Amino acid sequence: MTQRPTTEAALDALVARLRGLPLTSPVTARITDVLDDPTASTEDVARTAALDPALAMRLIRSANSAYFSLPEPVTQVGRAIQFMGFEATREIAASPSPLPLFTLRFADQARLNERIAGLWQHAIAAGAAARILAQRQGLADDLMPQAAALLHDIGKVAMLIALPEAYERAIRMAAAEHISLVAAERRLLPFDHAQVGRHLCAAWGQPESVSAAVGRHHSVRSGTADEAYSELAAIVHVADILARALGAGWWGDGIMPRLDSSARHALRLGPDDARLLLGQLDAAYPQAAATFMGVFVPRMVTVAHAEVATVTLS
Amino acid sequence: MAEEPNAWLSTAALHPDMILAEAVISTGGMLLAQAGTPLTRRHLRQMRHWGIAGAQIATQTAEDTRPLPPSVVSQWLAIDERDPFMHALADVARDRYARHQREAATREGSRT
Repeated sequence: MTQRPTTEAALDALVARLRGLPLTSPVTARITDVLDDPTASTEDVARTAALDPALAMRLIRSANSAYFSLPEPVTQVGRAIQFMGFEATREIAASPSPLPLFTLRFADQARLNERIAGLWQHAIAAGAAARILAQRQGLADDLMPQAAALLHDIGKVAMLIALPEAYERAIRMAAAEHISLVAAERRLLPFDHAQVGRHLCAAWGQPESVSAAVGRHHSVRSGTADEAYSELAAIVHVADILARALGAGWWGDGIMPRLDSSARHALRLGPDDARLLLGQLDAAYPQAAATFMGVFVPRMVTVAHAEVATVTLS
Repeated sequence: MAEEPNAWLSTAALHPDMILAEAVISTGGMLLAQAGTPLTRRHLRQMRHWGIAGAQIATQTAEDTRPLPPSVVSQWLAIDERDPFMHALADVARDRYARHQREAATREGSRT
């Protein structure tokens, strides 16, 4: 008899499975090129790093780690690079990153590839929506809301790749019973995509606030009462809703989540804002999609899908 | 599990004779077409009438699946409109969807 693994152990197993995949950011090579240029400034490196907001977050988290013992935490990627120096930046930029998960395509897995591509479009839309919401909150220079929104459904990608049969069952159940995909996941699986996303983000070097916002995008109120965390979680929650209303891509169900009232309060959303925000997103999305799809070019994975998709849950 | 590759296509991108990979169900729960059915012009008219955003199509019949136009609203079927913001958002999304359908119809009209 095998013992039923705990949720935590199952999450670890899932993340471990994905480690065999090529997850170096395409932005890493660009950063290396800039770092190799003797005339490059910190500003140049920061601008390049910002092309992968999750990678930028990783640099920020590393700069804020105990190793560098900064007098106060940095929130700007340029400051992070300045404090760590170019050599540490080069090293950290080479570590695996979550966004490349969206670029993976598998041989003979047309439906899986379609779904991942659709989730990437939805992620880009949510990222663009988070930027718009962050600007309203006076956080125009902060990459964190965009990074967290880009990553909000990364757990769906991870589960599609590592648990294909169980996850297709959840997708079918959501459609057949007119429930949300997250509700179907909770019925069929030991964890939902928000938990998987949170675990993945933590394992791949995202700051705690990003992992927490990813983990809470369907339940903003749970967890810490810290105000900055709540604002970030609220932005990601509403960005998901706006991205669904925009309609670009695919996200696995036909249910619009209920707007969390604490998120509505945190972002001071009134009825007039709906048209305004969706109009802004409509205008911003094509540029965001062109930029991200230009940087994160899909790549065929050489490892057979069956080798990754063998996580067992029982 | 039978692996039948399929793709989600917006209603505007659907053509007669594409094979449905999943059943098409209206917001009210009415079955419009079974999985495995080849689409007809009548199905497409019904889908537009019921405001259905798209369908899962078996990919051997779906040639152009990427990228979905960003203006395509919306896969959502159920929305809780008691919240004033969400109510307004649903209105806006419906307007956009209707506009998209009109544009698609105009394009179709100009082709024939």
